[in-house]
Amino acid sequence: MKKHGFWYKVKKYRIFLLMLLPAVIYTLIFSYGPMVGIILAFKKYTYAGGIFKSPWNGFKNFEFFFKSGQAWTVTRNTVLYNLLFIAFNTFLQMTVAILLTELKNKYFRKISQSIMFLPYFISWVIVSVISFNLLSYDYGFVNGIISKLGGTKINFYTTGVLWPLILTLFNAWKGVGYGSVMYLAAIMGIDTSIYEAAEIDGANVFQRIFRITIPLMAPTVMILLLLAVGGIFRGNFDMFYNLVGNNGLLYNYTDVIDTLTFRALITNKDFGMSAAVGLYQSVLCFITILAANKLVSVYSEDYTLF
Amino acid sequence: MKRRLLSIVMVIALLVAMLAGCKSNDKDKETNQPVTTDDNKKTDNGKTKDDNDTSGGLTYKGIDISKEVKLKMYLLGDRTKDFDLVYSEINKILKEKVNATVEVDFLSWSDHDTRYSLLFSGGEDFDLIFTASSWGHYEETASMGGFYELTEDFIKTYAPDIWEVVPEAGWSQALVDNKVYMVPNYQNEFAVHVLAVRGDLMEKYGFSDITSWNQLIDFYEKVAENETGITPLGTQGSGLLYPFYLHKGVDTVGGTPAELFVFNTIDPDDLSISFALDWDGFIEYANAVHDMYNKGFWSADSMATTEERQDSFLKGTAASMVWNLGTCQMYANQANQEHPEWKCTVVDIASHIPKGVNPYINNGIAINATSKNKERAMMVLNEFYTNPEVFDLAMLGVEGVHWEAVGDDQFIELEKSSDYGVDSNCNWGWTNMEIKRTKYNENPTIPDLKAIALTDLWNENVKPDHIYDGFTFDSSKVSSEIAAVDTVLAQYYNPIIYGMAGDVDKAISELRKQLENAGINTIYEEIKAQAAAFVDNN
Repeated sequence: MKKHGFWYKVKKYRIFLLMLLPAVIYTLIFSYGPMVGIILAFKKYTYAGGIFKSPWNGFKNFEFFFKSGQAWTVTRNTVLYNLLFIAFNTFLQMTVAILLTELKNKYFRKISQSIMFLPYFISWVIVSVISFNLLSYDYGFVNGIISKLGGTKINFYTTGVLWPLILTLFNAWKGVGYGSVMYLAAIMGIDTSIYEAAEIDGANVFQRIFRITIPLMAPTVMILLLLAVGGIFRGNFDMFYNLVGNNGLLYNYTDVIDTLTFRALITNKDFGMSAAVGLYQSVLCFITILAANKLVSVYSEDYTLF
Repeated sequence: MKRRLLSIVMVIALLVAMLAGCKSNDKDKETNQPVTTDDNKKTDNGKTKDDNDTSGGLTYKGIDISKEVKLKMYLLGDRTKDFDLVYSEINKILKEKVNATVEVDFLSWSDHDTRYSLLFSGGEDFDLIFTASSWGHYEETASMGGFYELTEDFIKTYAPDIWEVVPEAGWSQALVDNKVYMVPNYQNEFAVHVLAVRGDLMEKYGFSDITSWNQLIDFYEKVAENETGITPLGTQGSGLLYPFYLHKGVDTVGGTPAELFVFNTIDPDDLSISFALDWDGFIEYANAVHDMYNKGFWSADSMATTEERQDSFLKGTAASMVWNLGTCQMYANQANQEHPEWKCTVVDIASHIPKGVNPYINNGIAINATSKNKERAMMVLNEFYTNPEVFDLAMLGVEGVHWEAVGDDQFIELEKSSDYGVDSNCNWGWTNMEIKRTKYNENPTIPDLKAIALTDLWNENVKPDHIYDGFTFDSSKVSSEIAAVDTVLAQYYNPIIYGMAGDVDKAISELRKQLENAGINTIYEEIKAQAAAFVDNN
C-alpha cells in the first residue's frame, strides 16, 4: 500500500476535518481551557488575586470534606445511587425500546412514546412540588388514600430508608422516554433480513428478542454503560437537592457528594474548597472509567470507548 | 499515528493562537499606557484652564468634581414598577450636587446568595453595593478583599456628613481585621422575635394576652387538644428557638455557625461565651420541643416543606407565627383583612426581658475595591444618607405621587404608593433615623396599636449595651472547620431544633460527637480568642 504524506491526508479528508472542527474547538474551550482552574483547589482564593495570583495553601481545601466525617457516607451513597440508576434505567429503557418496536399499531406507539418522553422536559423543581404533594404527611395524595382505606399513614419525609426507592422511581420516570431513544435507534439499525430469516425458520417473538435484538444491541448498551460509569462519582445535584432539600432526617440515605459540598459552602463560599471536591470527584471518575474500559476490553476490544 | 499527529498539530495551533491573542493584548496595554498618561496631561491642562477661566470650578465639599461620572450600584430585591421614575428624580439632584448619576441593578432575593460573590470574582464593573453583616455577605466579602477599605480620612474628606451622623459604635461594629469596609445604617431597630396570634382562639381559651413562655405553651396545649385542622405553629417547626433564647436572656454570637455559641446578653459584665450543647437551656429547649412535636404542635412536614413562615398562619392552619415585630404586625393585619373574625394580634412572650437593638451593621453600603470612582461614590452615598430630599425619594418615592408629607417628620401614603412601596426598595443601607419620616396612621388596627404599645414598652426598658452585641466572628481562619460543621448541622442539629430527632439525649450526644469530629473545639477556641481581642481593643 502506498503511503501518503500527512498533508495529503489533511487535504483528502478536509471536509470531514472541517466538520470535526467545531466539536474540537468546543471541547478545547469548554473542557480543556477551564482545566487550568484545577489549581484553585490548592489556593486560598481572594477576589483581589483571582485564580492565578491567590496564595497557595497546599491540601488545606480538602480538609473540610474529610473532617466532616461524611466523606465515606456520601461517596458510598453517590456510587450506590448511580449504580442503582444505571442498572434500573438501562433495564427499563431497553425493555421500553423493545416493546415499542414490537408494537404494531403505529399511532398507539407514537402516542405512548410521546407521553413517556414528556417528563424529561419537567424541571426537578416542579418534580419536587409533585413529590411533596404526593408524599406529604398531612395533605399528601398517598397518605390520603391510605387513611381513607383505614391504614396508618406513612411519614415519608422522616423515613430515610424509603428514599432510595422513591428517588429511583422518580429518576426512572423522568429519564425513560429520553433514554429509550438511543436503544430504539440501535434496534432500527438492525438488518431486517435477519428477522425475516428467523421468521421463516419458525422463531417466535421471544426467540427473536432474546436471540437477535438483545445481542445486536450489546455494543450500544456497552458504550452507554461506559459513558454512565464515567460519571459515577457525580451525584445529580438537581434531583437530590430539590427532592430532599434541607431535610436532615433523610441525609443518611440521600446525601451525595454534590449536596454535601453545596451545604458546606453555601454559607462561606470558598471557591477553593468547591474546586477541591470537584477535583476529588474528577480523579475518582477518571480512575473508574479507565478501569471499566479495561474490563470491557478483556471481554471484547470492539466494545471499548478508546 | 497520523491521526494523532494531526490532533496534536491542531492543539498546538490553537494554543499558539491563544497565546498570540494574549501577547497582542499586552502590546495594547503597553501602547495604551503612554496614551492615557497623555490624556491625563491633557485633562490636567484642561483643568488648569478651567481654573483660570473660573467658569467651571464644580466642587463638592471643596473637592473638584468637574468630570461627570456615571456610577453603578447593586441593591438586593426586585425592581418595583416606579423605581426608574423615582431614580431619575434622584439622579437630577445628584447630577446637580455631585455631577454624577447612579444606575441601579438588582440581585433578586432568590439568587443573591450565589450571585453576590460572582459579582466580585467575575470582575464586574460597579461602584456601590448593598451589604449587611452575615445575611448580606459583609464579613465574607470583606475578608476576601472584595470591598474598598474606608479609612477615617477617606470618610471625613468625601462624606463628612456621614461621619457626623454614624455613631462611633457603628464604625467599630463594622471592623473586619481592624478595618472598616462599610458605611453602616443608623437606626434603632429592635432585634426581637414576637408572635402573631389568632385573637379568636385566645379569647376562646380565656387568654387576654400572652406574656410568658409558660402561658404560650398553655395556650398551645389547649389549641392542640381541642382544635382540628389547625395546629399551634403549622409548618414553622423551628419557630420557637429564638423566642426561647430571648426569654432566657441569651443571644447568639454574630458570625458563628447556626445558634451554637451564645452569651448572656442581659448582663454586660458577663463576658463568657458558651457552647450551646454545654448550656442547660439548650437541653431544656430540646426536650421541650420534642414533647411539643409529639403532642402535634406542628406538622410532621415541617422539615420537608417549602412553605414560608407566614403561609400556614395566613391559610388558617396555624394559630400563630413567629417573626420580627414589623413582619408579624404586617401579616396580622393582612390576616385580619381577609378574615376579620380571626382578630389576630401580636404578643411578646419575653416581656420581662429588656430588649436590645440590632447592630448598625445589620444594613449598610460598601464600595467595590475595583471601582474607578471611589471618591465620587462616597460623595453620592453622603447625599443618599444625609440629604433629606434624596433620602425621602429613595424611601418613599416622589412626593405628591407616592406620598404626602404630614408635618416635618411624618407621611401618608397616596394611592400610587404601592407602585414604589414604602421603605422597600433596599434603601436600608443608608437609613438615617435623624431624617427618616414615620407613617401617620389615621385608623390604627389592633396589631398596629399592640405594636406601638410593645415598642413603647421596649423603649422604656432598653437593655444596656453588651460588648458582644457588636462583635462578629471572622471565620476565615477556620474555614475548613466551618465548612465541615455546616455539613453536620443540617443532618444532626436541625432535627433536634424541630423536636423531630427521636430520643433527645441520644440525638444530642450524636450531634456532639459529629461536631467534635468536624472541629467545633478549634472554632470555639478561635471565637474565644477573637472575642477577648475585641474586648481588649474596645
